[in-house]
Amino acid sequence: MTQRMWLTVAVGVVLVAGAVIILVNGATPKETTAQDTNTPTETTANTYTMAQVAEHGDATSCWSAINGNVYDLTAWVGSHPGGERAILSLCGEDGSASFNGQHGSYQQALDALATMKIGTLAE
Amino acid sequence: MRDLSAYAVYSPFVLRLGFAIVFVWFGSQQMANPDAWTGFLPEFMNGLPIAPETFVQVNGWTEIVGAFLLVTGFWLRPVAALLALHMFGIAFTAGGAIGMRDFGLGMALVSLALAKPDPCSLDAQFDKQEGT
Repeated sequence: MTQRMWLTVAVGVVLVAGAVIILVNGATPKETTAQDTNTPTETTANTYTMAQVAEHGDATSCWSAINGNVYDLTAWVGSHPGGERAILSLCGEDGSASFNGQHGSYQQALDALATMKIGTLAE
Repeated sequence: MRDLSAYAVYSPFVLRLGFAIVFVWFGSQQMANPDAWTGFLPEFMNGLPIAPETFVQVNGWTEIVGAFLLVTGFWLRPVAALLALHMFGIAFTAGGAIGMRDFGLGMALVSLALAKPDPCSLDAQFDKQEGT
């Protein structure tokens, strides 16, 4: 066997072994609680004004009003795949235009956002 | 302006190195924090027999291995082609600014896949050894 073949086999073994280890161990799915779902609960029934949302305008406590609901995005600041700046720009603000413009009706994004809902925006 | 044409031979390697850094970063992020990435999975993945988080981690591992192959220039053309398809898939799924960025990255990978292996790549070294 040529050197190229040996190296190919080695890379293949590493790739498959790594995948098998990950599959066998499995990732622990995030546990969902009543608060994580969009089911109305005492917490999600809370109503907030924009003035209250504006009080949570930085990375230490980041709330945003999006499409009539209020979301606590604090935990998402460091996890957002598109970078933290995109989330920080929404802190304390109405983020509807930014969110809709970036994610539109993308269901996966809507599902992720729903897990962070803490209430509705007072009219 | 200083003539940089003497360094042109390193151009493909610089591109491969840049891509490798990108894929190592994204791959390691997916392995460390799979929850944050399940949102990017297409809806049809919901029917898979494995957890979305596990799939994300396997994807991350594959990207890391792909990064290693890119930077070493081993099986460069097929790896670049596969990663290009991967980026186009993400671009189509994500849409928006992220999708546009990933489309651009995919096109750069297509360019790598179309080019001959550069002298800095393992493929070129093996071709030389094997007389091809």
